[in-house]
Amino acid sequence: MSVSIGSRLLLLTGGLLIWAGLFLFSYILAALACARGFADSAWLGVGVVPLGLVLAAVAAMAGLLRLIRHARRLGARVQHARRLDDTAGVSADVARMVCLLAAIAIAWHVLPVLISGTHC
Amino acid sequence: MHVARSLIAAALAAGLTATAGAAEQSVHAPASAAAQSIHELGIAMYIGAGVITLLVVAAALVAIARTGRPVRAGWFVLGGGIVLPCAVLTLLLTAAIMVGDALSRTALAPVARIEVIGHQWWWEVRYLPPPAAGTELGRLLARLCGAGVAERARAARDDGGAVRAIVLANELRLPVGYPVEVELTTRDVIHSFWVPALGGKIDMIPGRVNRLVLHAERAGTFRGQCAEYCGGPHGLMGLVVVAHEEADYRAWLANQAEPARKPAGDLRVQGQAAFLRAGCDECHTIRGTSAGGARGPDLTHVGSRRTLAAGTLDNHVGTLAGWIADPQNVKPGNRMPPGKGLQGSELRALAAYLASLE
Amino acid sequence: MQRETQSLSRLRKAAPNSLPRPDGELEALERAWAPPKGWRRLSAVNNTQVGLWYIGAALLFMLLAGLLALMMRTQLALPQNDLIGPTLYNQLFTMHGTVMMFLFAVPVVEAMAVYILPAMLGARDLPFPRLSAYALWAYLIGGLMFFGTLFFDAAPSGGWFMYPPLTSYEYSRGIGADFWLLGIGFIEISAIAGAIELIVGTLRTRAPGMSLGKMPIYAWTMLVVGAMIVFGFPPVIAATLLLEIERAFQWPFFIAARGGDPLLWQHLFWLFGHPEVYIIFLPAAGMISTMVPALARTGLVGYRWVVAALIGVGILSLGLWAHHMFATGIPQLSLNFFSAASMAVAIPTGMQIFAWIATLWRGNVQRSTPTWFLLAFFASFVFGGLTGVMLAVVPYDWQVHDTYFVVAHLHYVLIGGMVFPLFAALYYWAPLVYGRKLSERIGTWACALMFSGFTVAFLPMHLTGLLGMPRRVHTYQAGLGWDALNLVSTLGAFTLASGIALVFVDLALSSRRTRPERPNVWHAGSLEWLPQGAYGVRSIPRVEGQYPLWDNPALAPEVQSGQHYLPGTATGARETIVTSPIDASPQYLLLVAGPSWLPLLAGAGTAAFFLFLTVKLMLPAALGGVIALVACWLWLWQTDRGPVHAPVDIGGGITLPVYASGSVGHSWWAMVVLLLVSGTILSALVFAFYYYWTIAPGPWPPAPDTLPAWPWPAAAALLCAGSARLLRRARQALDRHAHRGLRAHLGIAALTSLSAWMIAIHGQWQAGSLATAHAFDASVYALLSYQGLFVAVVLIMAAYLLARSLAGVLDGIRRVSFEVCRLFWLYTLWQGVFVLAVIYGSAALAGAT
Repeated sequence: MSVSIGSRLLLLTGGLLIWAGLFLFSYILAALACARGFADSAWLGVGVVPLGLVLAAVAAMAGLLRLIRHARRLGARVQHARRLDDTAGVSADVARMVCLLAAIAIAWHVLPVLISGTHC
Repeated sequence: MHVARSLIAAALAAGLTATAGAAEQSVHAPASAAAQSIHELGIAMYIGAGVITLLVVAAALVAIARTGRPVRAGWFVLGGGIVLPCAVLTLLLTAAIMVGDALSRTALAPVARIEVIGHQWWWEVRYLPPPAAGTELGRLLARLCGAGVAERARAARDDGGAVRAIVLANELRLPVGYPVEVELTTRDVIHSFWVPALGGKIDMIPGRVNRLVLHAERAGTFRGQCAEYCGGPHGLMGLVVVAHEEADYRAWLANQAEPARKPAGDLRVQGQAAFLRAGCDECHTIRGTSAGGARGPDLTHVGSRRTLAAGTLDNHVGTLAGWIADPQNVKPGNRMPPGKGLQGSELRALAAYLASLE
Repeated sequence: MQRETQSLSRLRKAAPNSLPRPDGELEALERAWAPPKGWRRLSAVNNTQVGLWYIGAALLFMLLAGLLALMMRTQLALPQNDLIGPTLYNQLFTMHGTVMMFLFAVPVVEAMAVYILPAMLGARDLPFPRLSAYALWAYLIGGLMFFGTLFFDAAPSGGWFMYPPLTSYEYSRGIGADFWLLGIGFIEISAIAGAIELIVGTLRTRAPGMSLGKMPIYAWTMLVVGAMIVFGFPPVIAATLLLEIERAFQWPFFIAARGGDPLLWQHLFWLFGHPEVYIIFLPAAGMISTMVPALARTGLVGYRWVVAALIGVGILSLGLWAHHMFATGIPQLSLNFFSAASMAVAIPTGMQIFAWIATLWRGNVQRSTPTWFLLAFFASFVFGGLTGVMLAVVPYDWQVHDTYFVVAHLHYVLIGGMVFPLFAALYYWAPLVYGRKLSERIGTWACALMFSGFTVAFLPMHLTGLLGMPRRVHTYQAGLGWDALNLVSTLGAFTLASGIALVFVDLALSSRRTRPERPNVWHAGSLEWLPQGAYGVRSIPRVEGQYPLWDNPALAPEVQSGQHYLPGTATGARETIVTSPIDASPQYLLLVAGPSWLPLLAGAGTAAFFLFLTVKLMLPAALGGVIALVACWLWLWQTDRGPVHAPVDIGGGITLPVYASGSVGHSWWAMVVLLLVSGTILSALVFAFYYYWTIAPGPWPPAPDTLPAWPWPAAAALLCAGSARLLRRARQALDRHAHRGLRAHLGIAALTSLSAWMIAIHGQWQAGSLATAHAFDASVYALLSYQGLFVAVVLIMAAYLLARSLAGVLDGIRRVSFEVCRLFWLYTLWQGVFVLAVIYGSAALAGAT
């Protein structure tokens, strides 16, 4: 089996890259909503901005779950093969731990929107 | 449990202020609901931080002191590093968001709007007229706060027929019990407006207008200071906020709306002449006289102010004379030119004149 | 990135080389690595020599900046003190912060890595020793000049954060601010050089068998730090460029009256500034993760958790920047995002702390000076971290922001989190230099003095801040409750200083009693404790676990007798093994550069160029620039030596080539890192460009009629694409060994690249756009100028390649120079197309809506 360092680094950092993507998206959305004045606009009674943020967070969490499953499969395969390459096992574990950190960060990221809505 | 916490909080707060003696500028001597909520948040966090630090240091000490025993990584790293901080921080973050939300949503029913303009290194304070009953802001105010508050706001406003003219320096006066909106801008570099007893700070940034609501709940004198480094004598850019009971505030406002008093007595007349001869009017305004400069503070009621040179000196005849004679010694780097070729007698007359402008 | 295959099956259990070793093998190795003697020592580039100088230089700046702190504390001891006036005081605190952050903290952690990392990885040297030497000299000479401005009343006084408009031309007319921007320029150069060394070094020069999963935590840390420099430093590079341009040419990036915004500086500065704190703290954490297991005589508990924590800190720290801007009035909604991220970053830090405590808990701890410093670390850093959490609470921060509470917090984090671990590390690793431990007695006293002085100085400062004392004030009024607290802090500061002085006494005393051997005094498990000469280890060990010296107690004698890989020099020159990035299987032999005056010359030239430019002495500046350029040219000319030797048997049945081109080569990797930096600087400039859009009160672009008609940018973009095609033809010619075709295509490609840029900038100019008119125009010209810088480098590269081809040192096999330049060149061309698309595409889109 051959694997490139690029995809290995992507696996290790993937969870938090998802968080970073969500962060960037929310930062831009919030900045635009407050600067362009659509922070309070609603669609069917639900605020557009909170809805966007929560949907993005749900998508990010789903991405984390996929990544965790992928890492678990990789780890299981390594254990099964008892190969010399221990980095796959370490990487799989580290990737899942990074996903755990990302999940916490994402949960806290949407907490303010849930508590106080979009408030410029 | 709650009683115990309040007791500890009270003890800590007392300790903080007692070591201080004076607490004019303390974060933990709140005079408004905003400052009070931050004060309580702070006390809770100090206790938490103290306990956690002690526990961790104790754990490290024990770990070094005793011989090795098997550990479970999960127990330490997962329990101590993830579960515990998650629980504590989720609580804290929730509290932080709720307090921050409450503070930044403070219902606006301003009885006065004050424009504070930062200068290197003093504060220009302009009292803007409050919203009239018919205006949009006035209607908003009535709707937001109910007729009672709006009525009181109008009553406060009715006192200030000439309110638009009031310009002070380095001093704000507020009515106790009423919210006052402060509009913050700057004429040069970034400054930051901060009066700890009344709440948090906010920066004054070129090209932006930031707003802050001050709502003093007790009468008193509170000190503030520029909190963003602005070069030169940034450390000597103080500010005094005086919260008056309603009647005193009205009286003060009425007095400030008047033009400057005519000099009474020879000495003061000489002082006014010296003021003009030395060219002070190039930078300073004294309403009711020919002096109309705009670079330095308005001196119409300079005698009524508590301090000189932005909170650097107490204000009386002696300090006035000393300040005019050698401003660079009192506050090195400030923009007030030294000397001005005044003789000793002229200086005394000038100081007496200015001190009389109450 | 290239793919690697499993070749670990070739690693057998027995040591890879047999005894006895041939006569003269060790002597040849010693000859190849013999350090230059006498005054020629300054031409040394070996990491053990450069690393020591580097550490020494950084500690020197710590002492200098510490003296400034003592002067400030003396001034603040009493209220209304007029010992030091505001002018000098403002210079003092600006220099103290700047020197401590940029000339001490960042360099010292890089310097420690330069010294320790290769040994820990089992490499003989860093992959680019001359680059380290260049970074050292540029930093040392530039740093000393920068510090010297204090004696000429020309020091900057805008604070280490340099907020405009205070630091722009209108309010800082002297050259102090320019010196600041220059001083930062040096540290930017040396930081990026450091990042390249760290990333390529940890990924490519590990001992065979040291897979990612067995890599020491310190190496993981420095890998993460290298990546953080790549993504963290570019915003401040962009910001300093913009501010210097604003100061020199009045382009209004930060001037509100002409469409700019002072807050843009704060965004860019803190986008760097917060990762910066972790760029300083993480290496310290890595050292702790190395010292704790050795002192506790047991492996680190939760290796995988700690790796995850490092990655966590590295990425989360990029989302915290605005927590330095809670009081600027940006929307509450955005503030809460930053508050949440600031709390999230506490978790990986907590994980590391508990992993260390668990390790101490499991082991039998050696009670020695490093242990005491680590205790001081725990006590102060945990508290500092918790006050950091308080500062992340938005409403609380509104009160304490920019007060002495923050001063206390940041010193708790930086002294607690970085200086105490650093001093622990000095005591821990001193035997590598001195052959013996430093004095336990002096060390214990020093630690006690430092910790007590630190606590007395900084613990009361929390209170001073809560009582309302703002930062950066040259004096304060009596009677506000701050008087006694300030006096106590001053006493503490002098106590702290005396503890630090004691450490230097210890270092000075020990240097007279150096013993040559390097005994493993702590019985540590990592490779730097193997017996070493100037060449590093005699033979490069095969690694089978996270603690090789514990896993194989016979490793040290095996390595020293030459039983492991590459027990001598195959080519007679300096060499080290390049291994694959994931599982560290040997790939080729890297010919390591030897002593040379060129890095020193280039560093001095660079320093002279910037310094004379700052004081506007154009002729000497040009001279310095030419010296730097020529030195770099000559230095590079000596690299890319081609396959000078037949493939070499390094033992264990492994035969390695001595030359590698393509994406396997270490230079290719270094260029990729450099391009990541370049791309991130570009993103920062693009961020600035769009930032003006979000704050624009009126229409955007502000004056559409000053934009060129579409044929201008379109022609420029087409030329870029054409140039890329020509470059491809050049490569095909090289493949065919067609030298004339290569030269012709290179030359035309260079001209095409240049004309693309000239058309783009002329189009903008002829439309009537003036960079001084509005921030929009300024940001357009900034993007185009940035592209111009790259085109200029491309032209130099083209000339270099032509020269190499003419000299006959560039051909179808000896082609690394071409490949590396081509990578840069292609990047430049696509950057050009991207810049054009961003500017004119967005303007067209905004105009259409």
